[in-house]
Amino acid sequence: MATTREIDTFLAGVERRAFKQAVYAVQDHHSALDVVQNAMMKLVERYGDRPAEELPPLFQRILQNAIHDHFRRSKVRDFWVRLVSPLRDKDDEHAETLESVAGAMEAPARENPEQRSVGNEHLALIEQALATLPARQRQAFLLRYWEELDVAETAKAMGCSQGSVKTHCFRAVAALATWLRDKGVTP
Amino acid sequence: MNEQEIIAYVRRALDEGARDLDGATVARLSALRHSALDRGQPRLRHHPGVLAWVQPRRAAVALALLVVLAFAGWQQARQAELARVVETDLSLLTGELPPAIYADRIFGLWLKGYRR
Repeated sequence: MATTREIDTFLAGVERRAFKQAVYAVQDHHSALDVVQNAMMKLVERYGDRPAEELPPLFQRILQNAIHDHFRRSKVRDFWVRLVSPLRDKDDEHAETLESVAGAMEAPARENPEQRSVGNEHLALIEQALATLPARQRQAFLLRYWEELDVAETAKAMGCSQGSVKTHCFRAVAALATWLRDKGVTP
Repeated sequence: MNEQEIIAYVRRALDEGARDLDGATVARLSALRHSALDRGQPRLRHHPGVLAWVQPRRAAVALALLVVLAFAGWQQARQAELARVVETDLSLLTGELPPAIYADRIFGLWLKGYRR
């Protein structure tokens, strides 16, 4: 069974990459923090009694599920918003417009810290390249090559076959190579 | 660039990106971690006892099972009662005596005396 200190050390080592993974997936700073928080909570509350060596693949699986849950909740929320929006009167619409304008004015201030930290031109290009990948290819690439899970662990985290993981990874690498070549980037 | 070079290059860049996260985000992540560990402390410290079984999901399943069993029991009792009534009615209708006799006051009095 992992001790509190071991879990703390593990999470401290993985939290930044987990956050970046969540950002790449959900494309929003605050939602990404929520996703990471949910994943951390779940790991500690439900799997805190597991041995320390089981934590990395376990956490990645939980993180992928948390990202999946985020999209599912968004879908449900969007459905209800669409359902309710025709019932709103004009005043509400105006209020919403003002709110959205205010939100839009605040938005750059919220997103800036994340963007400011990316000073590396090449990193920005690579992040753009990752953003162009289909979600499953990006997920497979990050788990397999950034988190260094093996094919079986990646397949388990993604809930697909090992063959699919290999295909996603192959296509992701090919797409990244093409993108980088087109942008004139060489390692 | 071959495949390994691309992977190594992207990894290096992503590592740098994660390392250079802004201070506010790093502090927030650290706070989230501590909050998660604090909330999970009881589970980490103590071995789960008998009460660990009493989780909301399990309790809901057990409750649903009880409701289904109770409904099945009630349904079975109702069927048995219905069968008894049908049997009585059939025996009355197919008997030698006309059904009107059972509604007669004298039959009621006789029945009371017979029971005594």
